[in-house]
Amino acid sequence: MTIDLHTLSGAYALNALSADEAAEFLEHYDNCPSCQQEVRELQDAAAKMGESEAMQPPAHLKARVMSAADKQPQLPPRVAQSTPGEAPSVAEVDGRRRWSPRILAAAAVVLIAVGGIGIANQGNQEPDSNLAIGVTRVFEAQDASTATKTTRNGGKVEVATSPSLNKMAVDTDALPELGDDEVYQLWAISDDVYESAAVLDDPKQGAAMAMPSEGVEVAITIEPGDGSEQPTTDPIMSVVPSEV
Amino acid sequence: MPETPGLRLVPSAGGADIDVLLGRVARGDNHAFDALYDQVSSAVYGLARRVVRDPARAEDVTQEVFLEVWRKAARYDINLGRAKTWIMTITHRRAVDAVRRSESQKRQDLRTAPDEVVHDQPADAVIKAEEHGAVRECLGTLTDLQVESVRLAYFNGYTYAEVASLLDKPLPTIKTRMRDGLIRLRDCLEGA
Repeated sequence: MTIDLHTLSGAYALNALSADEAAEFLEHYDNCPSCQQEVRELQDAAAKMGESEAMQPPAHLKARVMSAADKQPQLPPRVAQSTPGEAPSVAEVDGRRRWSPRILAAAAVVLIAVGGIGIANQGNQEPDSNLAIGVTRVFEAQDASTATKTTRNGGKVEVATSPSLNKMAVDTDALPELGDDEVYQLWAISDDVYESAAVLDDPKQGAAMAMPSEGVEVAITIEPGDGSEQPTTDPIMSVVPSEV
Repeated sequence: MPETPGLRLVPSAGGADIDVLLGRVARGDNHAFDALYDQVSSAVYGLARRVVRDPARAEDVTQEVFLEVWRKAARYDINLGRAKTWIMTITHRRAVDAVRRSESQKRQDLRTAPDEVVHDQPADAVIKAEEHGAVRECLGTLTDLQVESVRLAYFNGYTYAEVASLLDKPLPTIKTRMRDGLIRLRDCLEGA
């Protein structure tokens, strides 16, 4: 299996893996320094092939890019994780994080709602299996973008997206606790159509799902009972993952 | 990696300058970002154009790439390779995403089965564009199957499963050809 995954380095460097395979490969990759070195070198060779196609862009594009960048904040650099006194990172509570089958099943709805971008872990619905592909994986991806959103009920939600994993995740640990007859529910909104993405049975677990298409909005509402077919309350927060 | 004078297609400053510029961009330097655009926009746009084909879409991809570079400059780690490779890797990923999105949109529009892949051109048709300099010479050292596998994936945005289906070869063969093809390209370019 290891050897088999290792040989995916070429296809990975060419972005020629499906989202599922890429996630599987990256799991192996994280613990394989020789793979990391090889992928970097193969990406470099591929990049040179790409550079050989250079073509002058239209002159008007530069002003457009500069003015768009002007409106964009920059992400801070990464800081070493073991800084003493730092709040516990998501990774440190990872041992408790497990997918519920329900979140997995519900997340599959996003797959349909946003047009065919699969979740990496679709087939794995056993609650006790060791699901390494999860919330923390997205937050800790090399190319992760993160944002913190405050919610209308006085909580906080951290959102992460990772293009290489093609996933987004929410850390909902800091949401206020709800009564026994209420749940937080995640929605994918496209053209004002709400599709349920997940019911957060245990907000401490957070949730991860396929990266929604550009422009699709993800929102959280508080719903009665076990969740609703369509939202019955106004969202407490919303985010456009492609803009995180 | 040694740079060979005269074999670079883009008449730009060497890679080291781009590394330095990106370091300045990471500190919010607008002028450096402006200069970086001048240095790498041809490579970014050219690759985007080659992959997505549509000029307007290629402009969108180019803009997305530069915004990502701007936003994530502080997260780029020089120890992990050339800045230009980082930028080209972002470009390729975004261009391929754009192709796959529109492909999936097209499939929905046609109401065909989602796992059915429609190829509208024979394999040979894509093996025609001119390569330049060292890259062309080095691609010439690859076997036909290696070149086809690498190029169909890189320039057409096909997954290796799609390449295998298009070339009518077993999956493991294509997977292996992509890897040994790129390894040969890497080794050849290093020696160039």
